[in-house]
Amino acid sequence: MSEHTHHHHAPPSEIEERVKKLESLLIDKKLVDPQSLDLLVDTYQNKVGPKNGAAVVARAWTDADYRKRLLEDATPAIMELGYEGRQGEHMVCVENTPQVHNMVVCTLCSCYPWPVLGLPPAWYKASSYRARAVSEPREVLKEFGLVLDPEVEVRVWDSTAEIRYLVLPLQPAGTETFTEQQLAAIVTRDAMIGVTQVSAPDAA
Amino acid sequence: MDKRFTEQVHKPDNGELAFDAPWQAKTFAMAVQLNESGVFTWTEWAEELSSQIADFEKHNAIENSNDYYKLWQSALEQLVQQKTA
Repeated sequence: MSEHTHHHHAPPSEIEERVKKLESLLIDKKLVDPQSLDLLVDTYQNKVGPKNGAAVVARAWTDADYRKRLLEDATPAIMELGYEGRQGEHMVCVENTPQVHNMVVCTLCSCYPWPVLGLPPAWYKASSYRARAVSEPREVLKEFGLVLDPEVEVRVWDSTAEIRYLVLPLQPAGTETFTEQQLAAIVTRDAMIGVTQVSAPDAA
Repeated sequence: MDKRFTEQVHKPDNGELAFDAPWQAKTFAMAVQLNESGVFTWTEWAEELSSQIADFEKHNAIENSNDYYKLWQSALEQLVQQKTA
């Protein structure tokens, strides 16, 4: 299905034409404003990303009261750190433990917690992940390099337009003395989707 | 700061770009703006996008952002037609 050939001087593709046509129509009807469109793109291309979620996780790892608030009602807890907005209106934080591993999918489309993770990676939107995260989650996790003990229960959370999930990963051993800032630096996007775990940085 | 941390710089997007092409960014932004100006709710949006995806997946698979944002654009065309006709 994908076309990887790239012609620099080719005329606009059919999809480019369609997008342009719709944009002109919406501008004419004053339903969109070109400057706001640019601002939106800049926001999601450059400003909002998994750094936000990493700050939430690091705070939860270092502040037991915050962790409790986050697990009880994630939306206001995340808002405390200044992260709110589109697609973060109803957040749920699910906690990994030595017995339970959580992973997140959106089986129907691509619902994702934008304020804490930015826009989803390509694989999250792909048919294969969306189907297999439910049918064979352990296999999928293996492909991400995560082999779980058979004793560990895997819980798969299906995001919707109303509810978005954030995984609170296990804090890796050996990071007990890290500062909140140092911890935030090791938390990855994939760990907060729940397809990997956070690992301690290699000793220098 | 400990050398381990300066080496393991946190990449906000794990090195991946949100969009592969400008048209993907444009169709994304148009949907968000129309939702914000009240042309459709996000639930209506998710339903239309899901339905475009389900149709496509009867015979095909979404493999990349290009496939995905084409369906996004189709959903947007559909909703704009319904809501602004």
